[in-house]
Amino acid sequence: MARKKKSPRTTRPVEERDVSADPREPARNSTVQNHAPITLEPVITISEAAALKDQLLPHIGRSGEIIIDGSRVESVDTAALQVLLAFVRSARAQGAIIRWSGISSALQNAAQLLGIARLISLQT
Amino acid sequence: MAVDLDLSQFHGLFFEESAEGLTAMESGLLNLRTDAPDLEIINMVFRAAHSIKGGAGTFGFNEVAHFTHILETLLDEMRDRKRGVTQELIDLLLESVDGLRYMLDSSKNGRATDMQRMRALEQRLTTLPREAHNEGEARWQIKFTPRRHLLKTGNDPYRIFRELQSTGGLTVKVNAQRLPNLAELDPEEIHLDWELYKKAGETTEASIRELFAWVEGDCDLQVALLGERRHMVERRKGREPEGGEAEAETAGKGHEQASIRINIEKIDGLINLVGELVITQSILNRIASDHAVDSRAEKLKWVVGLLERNTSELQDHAMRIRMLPIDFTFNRLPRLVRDLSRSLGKQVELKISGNSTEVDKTVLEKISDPLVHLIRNAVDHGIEKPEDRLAADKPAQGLIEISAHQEGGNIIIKISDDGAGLNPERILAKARERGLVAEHEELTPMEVQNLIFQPGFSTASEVSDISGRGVGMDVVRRNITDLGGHIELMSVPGKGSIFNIKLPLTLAILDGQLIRIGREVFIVPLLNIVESIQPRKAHALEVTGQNEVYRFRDQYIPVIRLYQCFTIPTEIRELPQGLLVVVEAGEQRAALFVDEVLGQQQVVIKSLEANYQQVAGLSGATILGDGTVAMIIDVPGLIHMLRAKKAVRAVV
Repeated sequence: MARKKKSPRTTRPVEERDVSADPREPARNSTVQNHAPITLEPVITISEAAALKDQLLPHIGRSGEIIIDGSRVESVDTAALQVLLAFVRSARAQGAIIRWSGISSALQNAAQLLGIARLISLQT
Repeated sequence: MAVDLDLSQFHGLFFEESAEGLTAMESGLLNLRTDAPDLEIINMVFRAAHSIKGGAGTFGFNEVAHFTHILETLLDEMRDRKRGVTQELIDLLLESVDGLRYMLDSSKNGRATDMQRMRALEQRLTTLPREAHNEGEARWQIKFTPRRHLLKTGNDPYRIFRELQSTGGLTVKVNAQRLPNLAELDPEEIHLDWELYKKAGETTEASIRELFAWVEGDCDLQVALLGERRHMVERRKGREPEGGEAEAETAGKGHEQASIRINIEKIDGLINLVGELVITQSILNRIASDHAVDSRAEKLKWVVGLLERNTSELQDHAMRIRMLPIDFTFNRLPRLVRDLSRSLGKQVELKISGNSTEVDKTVLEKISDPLVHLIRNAVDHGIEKPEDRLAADKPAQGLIEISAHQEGGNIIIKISDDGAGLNPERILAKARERGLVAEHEELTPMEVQNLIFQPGFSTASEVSDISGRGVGMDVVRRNITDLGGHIELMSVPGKGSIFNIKLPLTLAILDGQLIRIGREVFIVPLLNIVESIQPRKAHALEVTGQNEVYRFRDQYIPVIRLYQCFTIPTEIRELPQGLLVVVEAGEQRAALFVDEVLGQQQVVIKSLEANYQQVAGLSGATILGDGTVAMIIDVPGLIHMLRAKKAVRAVV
């Protein structure tokens, strides 16, 4: 199977997930070539903010669509949302387009109340 | 028979009134808030525009009338709440005020107006989208700027906001301008700040502050009640059931006082005559007191005493006609600070107080430029950028305060900022580079600060177009000394700077010290005098050539022998025989060598230029009680002449 296959820009998030679920797929995020969605951890607060930054940083510079899955987020705080905001901005500055494949209500509420929802395209 | 009325004689009046109208519009617009527009202000701006339009139409300035009409339409829509007040709209209206000022200035000076510029402005005015009016309901505005370390204290703005929201709604505006790229972001530091809005009925200031109590030292918090006047009045009425409303009414109306416009020459004529009267009165006083004691002389003295009181009151009142509130100068400053801080990306609050303090019109006109310069400097060099301020543990918004108050015959103007203060090392390095200070010369901190008043000195590493080039603090100080005042500076690095300016209230009279040289009497302005001393031979020192210096408190100051300056015959030529009057102008001191020091007296200044011709070393003349003429010594001028090492030979 050709490993160099690139997903077209119009790829649905569902298909993306299928690709990443492939057992032969290299570890997630090890290469920015495969456009697997970035899955946010259930708990992202100040203690995890540095790890979150490390998770997101390799995706800066990617062009095309960046898909983030926020459906598993249960606990989130200002520090984490600030990291997300910085990521979205930096990624956009490099020409990327941000899309969310899933948004938990915890994430939605926090982003909304901190006035950040619109800035990270979380506005419903 | 048709009367051909020449309207051009009224043009001056129209321009003057229009200029006042523009100033009123400008200050109104600056006070207009987008979140809670005050109808009263919009009305005031509308009225000002309307009367400019009326005048322009009458006097045939059709372009002005046409442009003002467009403005008026816009203001009318704002007044009727058909158009919401947005920042964009306010900015455009301010630009239009500038445009109008430009058109009026061109007409006044007979220059052609660049109509293209006006058309472009007109275009923008007519095509500006109409924003819906947001019904100004009373609400709390909370400005919350966390310090960087806030998150590390275990506090989370999200939690606080959630608490605030729990009692109703909450509108949140985040400002993420300071947020760095992800790569540069320390994920545990916070770089965001917020503006929150909450309906006034849902909470109180105390409970808002309580929610933020945990983060009190770790953030910058401002809570303000926004809303329409109506709401405020109603709230007051609720608290004070008796007379609350009536009070609000009178406060609005009672301020307008009737006034008439008078040509300044007429006033100066009057003041001059009153001055003559004061002199005549003092001659009369002297004659009366010389009389032998008898019943008629007693009566004469009593009448002369009465006359004296009336004359001095008359003089006081006459002087006051020429006095204007310093607000005429201060009201230029808010716009200046607003525009400047915006273009520099800084946040600055300007606080003005004492703006009703009155000062002579001439002083007012001459102090305007130095004040503008000092305020520009404070915004440009004093106040730091918001990120630097936060890093230095200061609120993001800088504060500049300007105040005025009267102290005896002087007005004191104080300008302070809470900015970076002066950097002594940089000033000293610069001064050495410019050769103003020798390589190994040691200076006191005060002396270092005062270096900024040296000609050609500019500390900004790069000259911005804000604080100008070349025109520096030396010009500011010279303008102030020329008015017979002086300026002092106090600056603490990291904390800010304070400028203190002392000026005479009027240039028509001054408090003088009478001195005698030979048979001549001179007057030295009291404002310039530091001290009068009995010279000691041991302290006198002759330096090479003709320069003579005297040691006055660890400082060698030049001696000016007035009898030499003005070629007056006198017996007293040795220092110990006479007296030294130590004077200062700016930072320069000198000792005037005189025969004798007489009394002090308030004198009416007569211009030498107007009555004779300008004379170096003298600033004017006056007539004393015995009818003799006495010259007033120009201390800054004398010191300047000494420094310039010109031969001081005045023609008397």
